[in-house]
Amino acid sequence: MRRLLHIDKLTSLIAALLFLMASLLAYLLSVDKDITNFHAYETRLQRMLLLDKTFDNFLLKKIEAINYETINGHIDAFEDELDYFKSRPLEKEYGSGFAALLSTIEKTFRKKHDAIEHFKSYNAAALNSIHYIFDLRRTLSNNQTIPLDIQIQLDTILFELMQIILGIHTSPARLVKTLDDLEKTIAPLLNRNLEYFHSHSHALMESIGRLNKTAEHATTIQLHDNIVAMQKRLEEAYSHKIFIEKVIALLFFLLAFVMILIVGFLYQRARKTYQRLKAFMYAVENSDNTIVMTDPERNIVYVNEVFEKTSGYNKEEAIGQNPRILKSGIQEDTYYAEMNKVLDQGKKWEGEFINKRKDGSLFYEKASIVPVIVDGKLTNYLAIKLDITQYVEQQQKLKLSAAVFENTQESILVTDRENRIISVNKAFTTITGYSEKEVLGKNPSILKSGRHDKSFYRKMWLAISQTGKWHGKIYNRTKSGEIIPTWLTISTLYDDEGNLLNYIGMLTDLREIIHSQERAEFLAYHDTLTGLPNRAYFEEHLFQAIEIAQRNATTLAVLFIDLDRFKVINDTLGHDVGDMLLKSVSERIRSTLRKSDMVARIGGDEFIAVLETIHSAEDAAYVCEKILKIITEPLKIGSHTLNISTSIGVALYPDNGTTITDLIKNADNAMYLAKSLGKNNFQFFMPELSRKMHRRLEIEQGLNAALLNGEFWLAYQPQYGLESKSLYGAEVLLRWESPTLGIVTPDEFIPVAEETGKINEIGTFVFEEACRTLSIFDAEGIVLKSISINVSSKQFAQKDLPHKFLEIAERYGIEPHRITLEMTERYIMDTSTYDNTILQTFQSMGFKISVDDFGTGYSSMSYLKKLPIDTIKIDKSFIQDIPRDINDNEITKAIIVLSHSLGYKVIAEGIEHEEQEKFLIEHGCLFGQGYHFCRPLGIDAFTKFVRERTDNADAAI
Amino acid sequence: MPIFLSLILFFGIAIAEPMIKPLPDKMDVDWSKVYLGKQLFSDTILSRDNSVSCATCHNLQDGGDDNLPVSFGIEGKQGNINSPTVFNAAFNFRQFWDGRAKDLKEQAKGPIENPVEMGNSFEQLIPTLQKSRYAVIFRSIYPDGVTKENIVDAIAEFEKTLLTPSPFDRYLKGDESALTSSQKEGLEIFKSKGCIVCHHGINLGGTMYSKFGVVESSGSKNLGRYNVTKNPADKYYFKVPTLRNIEKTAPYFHDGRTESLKEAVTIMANIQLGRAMTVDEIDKIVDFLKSLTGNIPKSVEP
Repeated sequence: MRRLLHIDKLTSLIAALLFLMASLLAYLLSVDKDITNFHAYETRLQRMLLLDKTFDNFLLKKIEAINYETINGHIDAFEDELDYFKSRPLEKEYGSGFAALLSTIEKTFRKKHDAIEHFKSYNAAALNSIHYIFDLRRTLSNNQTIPLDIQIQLDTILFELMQIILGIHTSPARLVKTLDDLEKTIAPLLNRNLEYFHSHSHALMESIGRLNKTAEHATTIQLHDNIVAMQKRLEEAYSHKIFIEKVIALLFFLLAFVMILIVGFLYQRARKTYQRLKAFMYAVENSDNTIVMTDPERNIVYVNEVFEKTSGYNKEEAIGQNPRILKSGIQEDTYYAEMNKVLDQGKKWEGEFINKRKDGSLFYEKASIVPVIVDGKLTNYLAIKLDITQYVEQQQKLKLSAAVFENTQESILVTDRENRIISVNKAFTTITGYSEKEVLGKNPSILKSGRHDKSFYRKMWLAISQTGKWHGKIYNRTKSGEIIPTWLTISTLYDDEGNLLNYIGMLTDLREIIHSQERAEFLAYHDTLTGLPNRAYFEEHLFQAIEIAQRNATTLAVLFIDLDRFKVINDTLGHDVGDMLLKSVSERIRSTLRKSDMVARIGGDEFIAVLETIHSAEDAAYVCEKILKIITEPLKIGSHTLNISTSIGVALYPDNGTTITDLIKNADNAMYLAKSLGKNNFQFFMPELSRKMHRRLEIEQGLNAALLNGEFWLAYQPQYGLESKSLYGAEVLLRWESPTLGIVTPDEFIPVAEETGKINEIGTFVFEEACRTLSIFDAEGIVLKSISINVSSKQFAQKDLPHKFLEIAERYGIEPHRITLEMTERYIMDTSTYDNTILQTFQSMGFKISVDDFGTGYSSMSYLKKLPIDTIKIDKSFIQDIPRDINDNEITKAIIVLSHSLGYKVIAEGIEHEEQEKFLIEHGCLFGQGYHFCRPLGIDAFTKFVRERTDNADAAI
Repeated sequence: MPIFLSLILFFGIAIAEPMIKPLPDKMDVDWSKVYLGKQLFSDTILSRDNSVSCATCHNLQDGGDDNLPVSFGIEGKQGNINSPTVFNAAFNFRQFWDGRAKDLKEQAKGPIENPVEMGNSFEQLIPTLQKSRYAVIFRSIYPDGVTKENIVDAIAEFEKTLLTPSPFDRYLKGDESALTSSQKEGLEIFKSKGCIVCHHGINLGGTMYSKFGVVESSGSKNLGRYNVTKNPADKYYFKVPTLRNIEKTAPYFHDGRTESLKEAVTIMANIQLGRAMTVDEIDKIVDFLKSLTGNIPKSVEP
């Protein structure tokens, strides 16, 4: 700042000096102009003197024929000089008096000029007189009549005139006398020329007199003196002026000299300052601190190299920026506001920044910011910052270490080189019961349990002295005397010179770990809910059991136990109840078994047990019965009293399998059998069972994709009037041709579909496909009055089924009364559990309801009467033996009569022979279907068949 | 006779100086000023009532004067003096009969403000000219535009070009055939009788003042230069006029007392020289004087 001040002073001084020099130059130029002017004046005055000289000379030229143009020119020249002087500001240049002098010169010049003009005139006149006198004299000298004395007189006059002209005579007195004499002499002669001579001579004399007088007068005119006076005065004034000018110039010079000295002095000082600044600058550049300088608007004007290193910004990037480019945003705005408040007061601010480098990483700076105030004006902010990132990070690490030390589960003790404890952590206190106070300065041997002999410790210290490390399991004694297993790691700390500093012992309490290990082992092999072995444990156990059984050639039984309807309980009463139920059940099962027999829970409500060394299947059966019995005992869980049962499948070693897998799988299959046999029973495994189950599984899998892959198609079994042999309708039959299973009959796949719920999709497919076919027939003019579609009872679970079917039928433009829905008698009878309103809905919509397979169930006719039924279909099992089996004949007859009495239409199925047809007609069954009339046909064949029969189509139903 | 011889010798030497010089071939002038001056010279705008121009009294198509004993100014006002020719006036040492003007510029100021001539004043004339087409021309020549000095400067500049080279000039430059023998004899008489003593220089006159009536009284009513100097010695002193174009500038003398050149010469011989001259001598002088009639200046041509 001092430097700036100096520079300012220096600059203004140099400016002043330059100004002085310029002034001096201007002054010298004006002096030079003065000199030039003076010389011009001198020259002109000199010229005026010369002109005056020519005037004087001219006035001497008496009686000369002169071209006056020359003298006129001189006069003009003199006037020009006068005009020149009059136009000059002489008084301004040289002081007063010059105007008067000039005016004197002009006046005297005017006088002289007048004299000259007169002189010119007189001279001309005189000259002409002389001319004429000369002429006359010549004329008169040639005149012989004029006497000689007159001639002499004339010559005398001429002579005297000449003497006057030449100035020999100044007084004309003699000439006047001579002329008077002549006048008297010539008077009598009456010569005109003589008279002329006399008068002209007289005139000439006067002329010359005037001329001389004028010339004489002219000499009295002081023009020359006046000019000289002015000259002198001018010289005096000029030398005075020049003297003053010299003095001023000298003063100028002295002033300039002094200023140069001052400038030199200041320059020296500035140089010193500059060098100091340079040194300072060097220090700043090479400082360990970051140095940033901004202008008052806080735009960076300077940064040093450290700044570049710490911030990652180079100078070019930083300069012109606001330092907030470093702001990380981690510190709150109030922090900066506080800082600004301090700075705005012109005070120094100290604090720490968490800043961000160019690459985005954070760094810590201890900063001190000073507002630089020069002459009461804020010129800069100077920030000196130290990168304390390392320090901060170390601090944080230390803090972290301390926290780790304090909070770690491992107990840590630190000893000095004499093995005296100097520090222990919290965990140490927790594990050993000793507080830090109690153990400080003590040897860690206080923890000795006495379980290890001396050689153990010797070996340990040997290892420590050799490798600096030791670790191993060691028993220690806590303050309370408890001996605990610990894992001890000892490491040694050395200083940089390799001197031993400390031992650090880290004790891990193994109690917890040992416990955990045991627990983990248990968990790995047991079911958490019931505490029973899990499947893995069971399989391991079974494996051993099989080996033993094999070796001892004994039998063992695998029991697969599955609770009946557990899912219902779980869903309706909640998992908690379910879980408690499972716990109770597992205890009950456990209680029925020998200790050596293992029961495991292998999933949800599935248990499996192995009965070792049994003698026969009966032993197993006995156990199964025990289980069934104990499970069926009412179970009170909370407020609920539950009645549950179970199904058990049994597989025997070696009869039903010799491997774990086979035994478990077969037991499982047997359990399924038990389930299918009405639950709450047990079944032994049978090989057949295994195959069926397999087939069923395949069908189930095949059905999953069958609809999507278009593996279903419909066959149409024509229905006809038995008497008329005319076609009126058809029963739709679903066919499935699986690419893996081949043709699968509905008897086989429908139950599976019903079980899996697939039946809904399939049923809808069949209904829609049938409607579509019928609509095509209608469009093509193929007459088919009605169509029968089988519906599974499972489909009725869909509450909106009637509307769905109605919507489909309407979509294809099929009136519902043309559609007969067939369902099995078993279902109809089973509706006791279901609501039969669904059938009424169908009927009210116009659909016809037919009872299929009639006669196979246990229909109560009175009940049947209440149902919304349109048609009874006599089961083919009755028809096939007509008319040979009398029983069937009777049953058929009874069905027909009964149906008719109830107002139902009767249709027979499976008519294969003419006798059957005949029998039926005979007993009033007018409708039928069967191979006798036509076997079920694919769509194309059926279409063809229908077209052929069109002629008979109008047979009444 | 030694005295006469010496006299002759004396005069001979004296006369040996070139008393008469020919007109210069050309004058150093500013032609734009000349052009302006020429227009102003012929423009009546200079007069108060727009009736009189310089050319009214100085007819450039003839002898540069008005061939009247005295001139007429505005409103027919009669002047009191014969107007001298403007031709070759630049070579006059002073202007006006009484020499009151130092030069042409000073002269030009006179007639404009003379009540019996143009009767104008520069105070009026300057605004008039500023409103006229002259304003532009003035500004193009003079930075300060229309001023009194500039008006007379332009006119004077024009007048400088009014030179009338004559046969006599050709003779002076060596063309012997330019003059007739009679004219040559006339020239000799002109010299020897003393005419040349006053009528010399380029203009054969215009170099000095002389009393009108040196030997005998001229009977002039005008007191001449006395009017200017009030010096009794200057009574009847007039500027010796130029003899160039004398043939065309009748009537003669300041009061235009005669229309005849021969008579004018005779008057001069009598009252100025005080000597009788023969008719032959006078005729020859007149003859010679006619050789001074020059061509109308080129610059006058429109």
